[in-house]
Amino acid sequence: MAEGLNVDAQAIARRCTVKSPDYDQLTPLDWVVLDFTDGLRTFESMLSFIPVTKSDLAASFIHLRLLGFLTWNSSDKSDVQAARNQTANTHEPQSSYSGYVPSGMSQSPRSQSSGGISSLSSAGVSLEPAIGSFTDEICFQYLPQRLMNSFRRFQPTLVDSTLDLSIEMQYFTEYLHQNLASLSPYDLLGLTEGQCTKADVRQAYLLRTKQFHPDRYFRKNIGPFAPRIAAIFKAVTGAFTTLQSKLKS
Amino acid sequence: MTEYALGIDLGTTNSCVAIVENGKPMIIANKSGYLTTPSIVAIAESGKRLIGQLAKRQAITNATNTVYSTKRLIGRSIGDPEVQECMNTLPFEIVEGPHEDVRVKMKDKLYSLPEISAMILSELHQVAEDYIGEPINQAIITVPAYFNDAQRQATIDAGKIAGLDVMRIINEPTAAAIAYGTQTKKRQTIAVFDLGGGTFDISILAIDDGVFNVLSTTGDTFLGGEDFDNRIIEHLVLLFAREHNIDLREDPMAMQRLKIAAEKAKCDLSQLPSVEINLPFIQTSSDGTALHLNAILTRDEFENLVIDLVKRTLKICQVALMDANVTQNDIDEVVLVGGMTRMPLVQMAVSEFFHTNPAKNINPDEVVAIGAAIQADELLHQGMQHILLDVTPLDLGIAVHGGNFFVITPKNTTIPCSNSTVFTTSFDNQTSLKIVVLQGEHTVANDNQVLAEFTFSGIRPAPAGEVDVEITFDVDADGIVNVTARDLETQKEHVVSISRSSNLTQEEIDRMFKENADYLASEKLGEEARNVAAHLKNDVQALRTLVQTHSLPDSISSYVLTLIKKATSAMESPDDPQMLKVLSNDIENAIHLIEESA
Repeated sequence: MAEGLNVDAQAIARRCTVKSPDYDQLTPLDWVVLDFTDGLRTFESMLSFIPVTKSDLAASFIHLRLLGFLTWNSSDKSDVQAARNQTANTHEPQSSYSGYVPSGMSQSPRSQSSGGISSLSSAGVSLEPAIGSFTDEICFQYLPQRLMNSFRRFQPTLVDSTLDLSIEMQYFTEYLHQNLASLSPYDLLGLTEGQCTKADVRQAYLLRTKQFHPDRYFRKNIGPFAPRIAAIFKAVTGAFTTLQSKLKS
Repeated sequence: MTEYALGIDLGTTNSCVAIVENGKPMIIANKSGYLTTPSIVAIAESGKRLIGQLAKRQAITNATNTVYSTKRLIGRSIGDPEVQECMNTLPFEIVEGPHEDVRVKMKDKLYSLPEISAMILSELHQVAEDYIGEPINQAIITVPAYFNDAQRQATIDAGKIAGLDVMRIINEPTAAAIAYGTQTKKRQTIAVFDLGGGTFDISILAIDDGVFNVLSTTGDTFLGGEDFDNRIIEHLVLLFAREHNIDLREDPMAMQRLKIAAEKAKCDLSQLPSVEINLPFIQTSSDGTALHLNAILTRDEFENLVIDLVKRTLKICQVALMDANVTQNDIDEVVLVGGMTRMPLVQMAVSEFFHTNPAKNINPDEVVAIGAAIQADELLHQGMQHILLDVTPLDLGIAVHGGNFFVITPKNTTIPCSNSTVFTTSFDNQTSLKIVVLQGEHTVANDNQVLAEFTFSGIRPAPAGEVDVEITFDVDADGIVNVTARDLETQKEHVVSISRSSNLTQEEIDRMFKENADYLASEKLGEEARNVAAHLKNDVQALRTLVQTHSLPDSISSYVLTLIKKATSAMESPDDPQMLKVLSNDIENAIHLIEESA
């Protein structure tokens, strides 16, 4: 079950006409990546002819994802949707990019292509290996708005596409781990202070548990991410305990 | 190829193995056809190892070479008061090992407790492999939630000796909750009441969207079905002493018979209002006449004998509720685990206490192994339909100045976890810090169990209170503890892995593993040889008939007679299957030849 990335043609087209602030945020590398996205190339093969480091390329992928220019072409789309619906009861998606990605719009990108954008639209870069599906997809949504900018600017150093961990989780893990000391309990759980109930805290903790409990990666080859994931889980548990007792009083 | 992993409930009195096959968890019956295997190990007169029902059956006649209830002793040191108590009550010999640990004696050989457990594990392992028909190496073993670090470590050692790759040690009540929780989709709070053969555990869990969150766990490692048996035994011994003025406790064989009769009476009383206990010829009086034990025990009498034990479990339940910050009314369901929960008095007391009837459709003897198998399968195949959030069962900390216990990781902290506290020197120019790692629930340091002791040295000489040392406790998902001391000035670190300071050394584990593997291999070889020998016996018989019914040339008949002689002598001690196979082949050829020439 190969997962891939699709260029979201409508989103780009919309931004070409209606000038979106996100449009300005595309770096030259992002444009190069979009140019070479042809639906066949894998992350590794792209690396072989784009002269950048793995982590730069991964960062670019993530930026494009966050800005809504790329969406997953996942065979497990239903899981993603289910997970979204499940969490939608208690949380509005908090990231800006999700607004540009109406569900299901990237199912047949070829038919939507037109004009100068056509070369971009037949996307499908395969980001293998990737494990799990929904938690990777929504992990970004569970980052408070105030952190989105620092998250977008973040440059990962550890990215290794040979690990049993999706590039997105690698990016997210490294970001959280590097900032563990400065993140508040609310930040860790992706909540905003004063805008959440005790039930929200619990719900967010369950999600984080599914993302970061070490059992999820039991005997998986996740290299340098194993201790980081364990550390994040411990911090998240601490945050949960803190907020549980705080919100009680 | 599908990979399999075992779920093993290594109990005090009974053990049980389960596996998930085609997505369905199931218990595997042992060689005798039972779903549970008594946790009893014996060495027979012949030197053969007996396990389970076979060991139980000969326990009366071979009392000193039959060991049971070893889970009560595992991971404890010889000086432990509980070990001392077992030395008085158990009929086999308990002696001190090389690391102040406990060893048991069978047939003049000393065995460590992980070795005994490994024998049971090997038996269950074999049964499962025979059932599936391919090698299985990975397993999850369950332990009582109340087990401390040393006891968990000793259980892992047992797995290693048995040649198993222990994926994880999980708590019995948590395993039971998984088995129960996969049947229900609702978000709920449950209590798992586990009264087994030797231990009592109570855990409160919240099940929500596939996450099993243990809110609290507590228990008593010395409260279980055997205490109920002992009450009956004491009662019978007293009756007998009153009547005949003889103390049966001095006779190990009589005690074995009493033990079995008591256990049976206890089980029967769950169904019947009264039972008759008959033990003829249990003792000979001083004038040589045979004495018999005859008694009738009613359910009411039995309940009176044990009512305080049941009340003790409820007191512990109260503590568990308080620790979990919930009340009886918050509990949606009670899951009963362990054979003792079949007792009507226990069921009644539990329903009254929790204001709810216990969950139906759960077999209290099998539910733990089933849960372990489900979790093992999950880990193996990364289904991750559910995730366990277990907790530390006891306070963890260090001894501080004044002999007090300073708690760093309080009990019921979700694991894996990491907690640290900064300590400082208490004397001027102190250059080293002695760190005593403790686990327990007493405020006085000495009353708790010592997990490890180490000295952190190289501290800069300075006035008292100037140098800070940070002590960090890490507990992994198995509940195994690591302690780190760090000098905050120099960042110098000292890491102590408690797991490595367990009772057995790596060399001992390796040696025991080899001994166990060798024994199993020779057993297997012997079994194969016996099978070939049986086959050979038929062939020899056939050949004999042929020789008698056919007139053969002298050369051939003398060859045939030597062959028969050789085979007969080889069959007397069948230990080399290879040689037997060669002989069997020769004989079959000879039969073929004669039949053809005739």
